[in-house]
Amino acid sequence: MVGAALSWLRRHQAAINALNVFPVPDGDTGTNMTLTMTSAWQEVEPQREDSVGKIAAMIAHGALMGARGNSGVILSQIWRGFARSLDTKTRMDAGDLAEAMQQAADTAYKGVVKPVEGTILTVIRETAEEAQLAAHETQDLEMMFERMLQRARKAEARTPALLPVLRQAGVVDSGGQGLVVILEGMWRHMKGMPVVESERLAQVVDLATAVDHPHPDMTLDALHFDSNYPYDVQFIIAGYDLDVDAIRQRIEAMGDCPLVVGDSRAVKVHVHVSDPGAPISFGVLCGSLSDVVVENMQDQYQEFIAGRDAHPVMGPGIEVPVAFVQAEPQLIGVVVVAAGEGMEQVLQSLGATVVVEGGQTMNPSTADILKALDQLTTSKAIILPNNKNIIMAAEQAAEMSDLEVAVVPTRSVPQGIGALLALDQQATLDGNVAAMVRSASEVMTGEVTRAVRDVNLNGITVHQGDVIGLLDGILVSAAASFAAVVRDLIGKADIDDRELVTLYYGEGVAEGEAADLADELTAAYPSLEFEVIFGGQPHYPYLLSIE
Amino acid sequence: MGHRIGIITDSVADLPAVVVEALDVKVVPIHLLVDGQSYRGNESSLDRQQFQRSLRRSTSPPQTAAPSYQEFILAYQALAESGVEAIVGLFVASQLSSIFNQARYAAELFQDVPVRILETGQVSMGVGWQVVAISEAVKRGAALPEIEALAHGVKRRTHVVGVLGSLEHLRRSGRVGWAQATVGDLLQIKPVIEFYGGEARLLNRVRTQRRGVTWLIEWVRKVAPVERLALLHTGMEPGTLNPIKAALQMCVANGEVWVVEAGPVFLAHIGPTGIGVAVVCGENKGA
Repeated sequence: MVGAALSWLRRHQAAINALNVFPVPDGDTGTNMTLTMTSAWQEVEPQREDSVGKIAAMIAHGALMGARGNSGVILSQIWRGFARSLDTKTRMDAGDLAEAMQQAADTAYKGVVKPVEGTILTVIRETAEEAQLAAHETQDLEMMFERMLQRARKAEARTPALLPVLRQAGVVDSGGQGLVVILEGMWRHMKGMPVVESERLAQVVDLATAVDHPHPDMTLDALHFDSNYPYDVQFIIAGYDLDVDAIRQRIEAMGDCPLVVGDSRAVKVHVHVSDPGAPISFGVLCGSLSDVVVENMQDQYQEFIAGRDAHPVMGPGIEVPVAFVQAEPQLIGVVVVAAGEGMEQVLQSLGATVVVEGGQTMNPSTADILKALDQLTTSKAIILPNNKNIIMAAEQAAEMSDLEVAVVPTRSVPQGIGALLALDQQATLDGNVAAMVRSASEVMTGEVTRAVRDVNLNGITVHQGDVIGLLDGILVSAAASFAAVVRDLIGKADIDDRELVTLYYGEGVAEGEAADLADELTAAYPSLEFEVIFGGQPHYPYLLSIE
Repeated sequence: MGHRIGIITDSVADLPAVVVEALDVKVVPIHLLVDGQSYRGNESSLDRQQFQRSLRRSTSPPQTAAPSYQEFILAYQALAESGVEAIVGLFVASQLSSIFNQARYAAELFQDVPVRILETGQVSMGVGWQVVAISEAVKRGAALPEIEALAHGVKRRTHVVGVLGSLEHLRRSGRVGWAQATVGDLLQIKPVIEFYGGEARLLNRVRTQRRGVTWLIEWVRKVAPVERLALLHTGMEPGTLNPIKAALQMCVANGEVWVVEAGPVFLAHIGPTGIGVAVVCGENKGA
């Protein structure tokens, strides 16, 4: 049943991902929930266990360890509450299910500091309510589940009515939808309906010839890819009178390595693109999609490199600052989350002990953060999540770790850098947290990226692919070029009390380009000092720290 | 007529010229070499500006030359000839400079009057405040044992805290072990350094001068009310200094804040830009 939920979730992952409110390359909810459920499934799959309490406990443990992103963490808490309620039970009746659902909802609410309605929380709460009502009327679990699913769908549909930001963006809550998909998968399994991808389609398309995307067991050269097109997108379009040539033409115009094969009933599409949303949106117009796979090749590439050569040899003359060597003994280890080679170096130079690879597009799991904590030789630790969607996983890891751990809830890498500056190895953990929170709050963060879809937010109309700018997480600018957005961000920031702007240039920006921009800004803003630093971060050509 | 006890210090103490004159303190100059150009440690502000400029431009670390023990003997000689019965020497911390050892060696050789070299553990006005306190006691007519006890008490309560432009000069000075051990900063970082008991300690790191000043004022508020306070700066405009001075005045028992420009020898080791305070905490408050 859990396996069915996972398969169903996988099938809808891309659709859930497309529900991001902000048009930024976000920590994808669909991916995060799928990875969380995958971890749960891996825990329970190899076991031969029929006690429902024990199975639920295994699922809960797996979900907890694999929890990624806020939606994944909440999902893991739902499972935790569910499992705790069933505990020693070997079988589950309607009353048990209702009670377990109630505990699941309660645990999920308790795990969130400020519960917000119109999210996955609303969906689990209403589903639990329905379970209670249904348990009074029926003992048939299948019927009960059907009612729960219907109620969950209604709750999901109401999320935009409850949460203005969803209404404005014209989407339902992605975490809520993820939960509905999980329930749907389970229900389909109970009814004996298929949850795996249609085999009929797979037979129509010769997959052996269709699959040519990079695979980890291929050679290094084969893995080289155009970093302008970091996403590998594959799907199958099913329809009645599909025009293969017309589809191929459109797909070829979108990116690199296009492959479009099939017939009038089914077409297999494979392409490397900068924005995975584009081919998927196009595919939906042609017919119904299945087998949707979106992969970030850059991540794969890096993983591959890391696995192949764990100790890269530096060329002569390249000075790599290793760490801020403390005269005082290290008493507090610091785990930070960041992406980009330059960012990693900056953080290490300021005293970060372990850098966990991750950020906006790839949220590390609770287990990833726990693993980093395990590497520390200190008894105390501080975690800087550097992203709002990683804070909960960090808190969960802090709770589970044997060390004395505090989380400073930093929401961006510039904030994390601000926090790190205040680190005092001599001070207590509490004292450090207070100083670091304050130091982080003094940093204004600017982010420049490309919109992954159309949106109208805060009076700014954004089209997919536009360059957009956010100030402390709020969309304030859209323009044609990275430089124009940087200019606009500084123009819109309250710089009265500010002295220093650091431009961290990321992937896709050359050093000279960033330096020229800084020179131009120095001339325009004589009261500010501009500093240009290589960050190497993906998806964000520029990150700004305004201090 | 001279006082019964003479006081001698070095130009690292950064005592303003008017104060030196009013207190009748002897100052031993320290020579500085920046890119082959020689500067004397106690010259006019015009020279200071020129010195600061050359410090900014210079690529090689400035060289300081501590006076030889013969120069100290000559200085003691001059004091003895002016009629003092004993000499007290207060110099930059022995951990940071060879001045203390030269002065002490000279004191052992000098037979005319007793010379006591007292450890200040300090730099700049941190030494300066100890000189001021001792000379006030001398004026009151205090005897040598009383002065030594007083000096010890003031030393324990004296702190210098400053925001430096960067850690670079302190690192290059080779006088602070942990600073030498650091690698170059990738970002613009302004270290907040405390000098106390002969050691330099990193209290905080900030990114802008404004944050540094805010932090500094808060630090002083935490140890307030203080007995004495000097605002140390590196050639800043009164417009910049006055609001800081006003904020600090409330933290001093008698409301008096001295604004003192840091001298070239100190700058040679901390770098051309920075702002700080030298405080003597109240009797019952240690920082």
